[in-house]
Amino acid sequence: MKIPVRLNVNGETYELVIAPYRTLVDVLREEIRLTGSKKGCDVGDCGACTVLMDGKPVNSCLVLAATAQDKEIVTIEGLAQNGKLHPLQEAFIKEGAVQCGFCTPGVLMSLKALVDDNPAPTPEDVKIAMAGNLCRCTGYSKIFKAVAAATRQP
Amino acid sequence: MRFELLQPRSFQEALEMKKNYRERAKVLAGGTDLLVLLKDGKLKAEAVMSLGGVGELNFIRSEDGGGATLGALVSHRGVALSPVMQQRFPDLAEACSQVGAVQIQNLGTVGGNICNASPAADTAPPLMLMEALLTLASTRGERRVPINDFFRGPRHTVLEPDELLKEIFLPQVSGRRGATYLKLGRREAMEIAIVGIGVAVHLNGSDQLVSECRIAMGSVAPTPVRASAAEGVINNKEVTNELIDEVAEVAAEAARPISDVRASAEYSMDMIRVLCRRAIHNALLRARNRKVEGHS
Amino acid sequence: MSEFYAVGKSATRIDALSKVTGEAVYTADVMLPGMLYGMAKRSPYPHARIARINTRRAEAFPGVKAVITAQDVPDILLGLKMRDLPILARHEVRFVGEKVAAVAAVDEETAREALDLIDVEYEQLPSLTDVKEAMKDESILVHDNLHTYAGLPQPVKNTNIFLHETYTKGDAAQGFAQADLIFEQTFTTPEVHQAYMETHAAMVDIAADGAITVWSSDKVPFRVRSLMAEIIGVPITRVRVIPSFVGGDFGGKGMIFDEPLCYYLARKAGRPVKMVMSRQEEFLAASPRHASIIRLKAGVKKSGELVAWEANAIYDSGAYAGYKPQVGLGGTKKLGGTYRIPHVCIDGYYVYTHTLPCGHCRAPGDPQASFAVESFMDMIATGLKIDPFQLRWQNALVEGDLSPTGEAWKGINLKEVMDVAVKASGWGKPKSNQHYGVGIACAERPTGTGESSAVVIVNGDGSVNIISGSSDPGTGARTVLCQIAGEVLKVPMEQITINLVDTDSAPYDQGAGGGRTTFVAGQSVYRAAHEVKKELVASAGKLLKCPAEQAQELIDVRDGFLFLKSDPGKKVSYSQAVKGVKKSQIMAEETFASSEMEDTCFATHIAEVQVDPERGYVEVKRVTAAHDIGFAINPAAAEGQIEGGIVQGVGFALLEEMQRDGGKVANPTLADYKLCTSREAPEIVTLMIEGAPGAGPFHAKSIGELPSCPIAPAVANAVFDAIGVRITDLPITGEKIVKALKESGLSAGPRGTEKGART
Repeated sequence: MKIPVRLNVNGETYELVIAPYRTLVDVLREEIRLTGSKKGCDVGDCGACTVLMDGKPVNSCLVLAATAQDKEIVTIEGLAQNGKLHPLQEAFIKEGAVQCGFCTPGVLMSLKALVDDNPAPTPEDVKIAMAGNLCRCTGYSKIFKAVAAATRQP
Repeated sequence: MRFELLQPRSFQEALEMKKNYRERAKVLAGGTDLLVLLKDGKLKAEAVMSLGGVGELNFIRSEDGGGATLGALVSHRGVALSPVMQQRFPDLAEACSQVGAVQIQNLGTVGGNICNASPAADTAPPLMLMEALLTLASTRGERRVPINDFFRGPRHTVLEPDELLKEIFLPQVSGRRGATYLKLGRREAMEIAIVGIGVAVHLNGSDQLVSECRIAMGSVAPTPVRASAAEGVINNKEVTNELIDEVAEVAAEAARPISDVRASAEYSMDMIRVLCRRAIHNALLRARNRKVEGHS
Repeated sequence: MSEFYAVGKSATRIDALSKVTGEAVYTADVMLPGMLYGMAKRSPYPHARIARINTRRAEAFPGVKAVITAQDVPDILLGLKMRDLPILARHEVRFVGEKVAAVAAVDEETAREALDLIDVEYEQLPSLTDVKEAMKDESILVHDNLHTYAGLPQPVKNTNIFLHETYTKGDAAQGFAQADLIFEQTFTTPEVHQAYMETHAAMVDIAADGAITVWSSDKVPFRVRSLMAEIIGVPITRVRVIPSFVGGDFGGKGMIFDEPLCYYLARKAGRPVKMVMSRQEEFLAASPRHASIIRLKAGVKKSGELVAWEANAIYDSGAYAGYKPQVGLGGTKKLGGTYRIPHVCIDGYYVYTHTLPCGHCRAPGDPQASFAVESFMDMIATGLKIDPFQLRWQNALVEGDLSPTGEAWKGINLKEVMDVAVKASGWGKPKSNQHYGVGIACAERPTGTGESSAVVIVNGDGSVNIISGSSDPGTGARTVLCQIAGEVLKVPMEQITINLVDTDSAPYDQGAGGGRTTFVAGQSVYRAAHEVKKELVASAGKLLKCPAEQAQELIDVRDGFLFLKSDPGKKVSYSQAVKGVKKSQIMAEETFASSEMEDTCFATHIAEVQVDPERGYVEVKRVTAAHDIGFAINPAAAEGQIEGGIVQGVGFALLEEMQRDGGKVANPTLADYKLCTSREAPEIVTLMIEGAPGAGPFHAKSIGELPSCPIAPAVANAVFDAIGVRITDLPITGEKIVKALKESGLSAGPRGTEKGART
């Protein structure tokens, strides 16, 4: 029995009719066709599906889409604003913090939440903020460098 | 996973639904345990009742006299970042900040953590140290259950099929109390505890005299447990290294860890001793640094 | 290196923007109208006969559009070299997780439920899950028909040891007789997973005329194409493989997985079918790194000089060998390390068991060999009371030496590499505290070989297109190809385009792997670009009234212009030069193939650890990594490979292990199979040494795989330095350390304060 669900994603409202047991990551990817959020494990162990829900990073594979109604959801596709990249996105490009790119959307969402809250995070703050995002390619090194570059004090 | 989804808009509505569905409806709070079990096929549900719409249970309320009440749906992250929690119950804030990682802490709830009743639940040892009181509600009324009596076995609590956890009352802690929660995993994050030790000590008068010590352990038995015999060793005693060693030894004796993919029973036993010692030291340090809050 | 225009610079990766915005498309992101979801049914037993499969209930389930078993697929065996893999198990299953059937349904939930409705009757058979048991003469056979399989140099019969490799140099017996001391030790490493973040994904669509389109996360689209054509029985030209971005590979995405199943399901259902492996399926049934048992024996002089060396390696290959492009593992050759040893005898045994089949995992066989050899070198150093660095220095290969297996490498610069690492890390300085340790390890790995083609086109306006079938599972290879073309043609990166193209639109490319892309694909682009440049210069020569035979020497290129070196004011633009030949573009194609490598690359890693002996907890604080890179075309990309390889190696050393419960993987999740999180990441100091030239463009060497080799033994050696116990069985867990400390009597006591003292 499908049910109507209204989702607010990246500032747009989507009226959907979906099975109640569909997760947010599947609905984002398959119904709304925002495939930037990835499925690395589907059970909350890797962070590739991280999106912001009311400003907080969550594993969208562990959220039923129907329960995300009336929340403000921001995905990687909503990080750049008006064609302008977020400083973290710029820094990731510049510092070489992207290799295969599969973990990148989830990592950026976790880090966006960090810097929104704490504009001058220490290296330890960064490590803790992204501990739920596994990366297998970069060894994390240039990701740390990119955050430092993006949050440099003027 | 395939199920009917119930979405009550209030706690009252939730209780009504739970009364009608009983065991047939699994309760969904943060989803970090339930959805994983459903996806893995380890659990099947005819219906899932999401408490996401019951905002009234997401609160931290400071009580006069120094205690606090947590709504069942407060998130781990909410507790970890709460100034009230950090001030009055730092070990619980510490435990919540050690669950998984930020994303899991944002979704997962304290109520969900204890109702899921994994022996490794990180919030259980601190709550047991505080002798938290749980309010269980149903359409028949409410009852208060001390947390010590709440766990029956792995994934099994005293909740009746028509009951929901409503609130967690944390009694005031007075005097010079220091408490800590230490968790052992293979990594610094994203771990289920191999061993989780909570210790609280009360100092009375001198820095050396422990008037009361409480020890709670997770992951070492079918439920989280208080190490009462170990506590008895140090209550009202002057603290020495030998005494701490003895406490750790007695605590380990009360434990029955199993060997599994995470660790062998022997290592877990060794780690109980190590973490217990360290936790007592940490707790003493915190107690000694604490200003008395107008009570004794 | 400012004399270079485009190379030697950390140019922005051409795909970074699409990846940071979420636009980059990976195979599982591709959706087609009418698409069905496929899922595989897997064996619960390590060894069983399939008596009967009844699919009627599954076929009747609402939403199911096709069900297939072995009856629906060709009865052939697949494999990259050794052909022993059935498409679906036919009469027998040989490991827990082996595919026996598949369904395609309207959604994943329905597919999952339909799998439960497929009734498979198994007759369980005795199984072999221990590799040493499997080697015994009297053991049952995993493959009765081994002697009929293609891929081995000659048929092998009645054994589970399907390959025995041996390398000898000198006379080991004589060597040991000359030695003053003999050391012997056995090391073991577990199965570990490549753990790429993107799981295997594939989709097949069949057109009305039968033309087949395949989307796949495989890093060698051309090999997917030829294998699919062979399986289906159509000419290669009837199969088109469309690559997407690949979310990490590390050797695990070189062989087809579910592509054939997608095809046969699609054919039955009349609709496209997509299959995405779940993370659990990846752990249960992909193609991890071989577990190894390595016994080393060394004969040494009191001075520390190595005279004789014996290595015996046993690799548990699991139930099938078809996932590897070779039958054996290159790492077997590395079992003598980077040292001058006159008498060497190496044996490698590859054994079938009823467990999941192993494949290639970043530097196949090397990390296992490295762990054994470099841990062993430290044990020898300890036994002889020589500093571990000094022992290596003394025995290090130098120019003119033969390798332990008798190869004559050119450009050996191991000592230079070691020296750089040792100086930068502060080796030998006093330790900051008790339980802090430092360890060193060396390794080598040659540049990878293979075949690539590229087309370089200069358009009418002077901008450039590169057509290449090369893949880029995250290595940054395609950016490097642009830099190479940009360097030859002196065209800025913004005016060069390279796209991911399908197999209809590019010539054959062997794909990423073995550290080959910079060399092989790079050479094909380099040479094609040079051909194009020649033609541009010739055309410019005519326009600038330069004698034809002198044009190549007298004219140079820069920023879209060709000019006379003697009088730079006399110039023509690229677009003028193109118009000059009366065409819309100038293009050239080059195929580059190489199968032999005369040089190799060296690396030295120095790991610094802090150990908590009570918990056995090891924190890797810093790794100093010196790598012989020839020339870094894109320094940031090369550093990225080193940093990533190091953290994978830290995982190999301390955390990662596919645990077994009988024949089944007991920890098939990323919760219980532990990768390093950001909190386990050490500080990494990378030092890239340019000097010993490589065969790649601008003397580049490869970098993709070597970084994952010396790191685990460097960590193991550092742990020994910190607390005096040596763990010879990876991973080095807290539990093993605590146990070893107890057994050695070195247990760290509580605090060492006096009895009765107040706390």
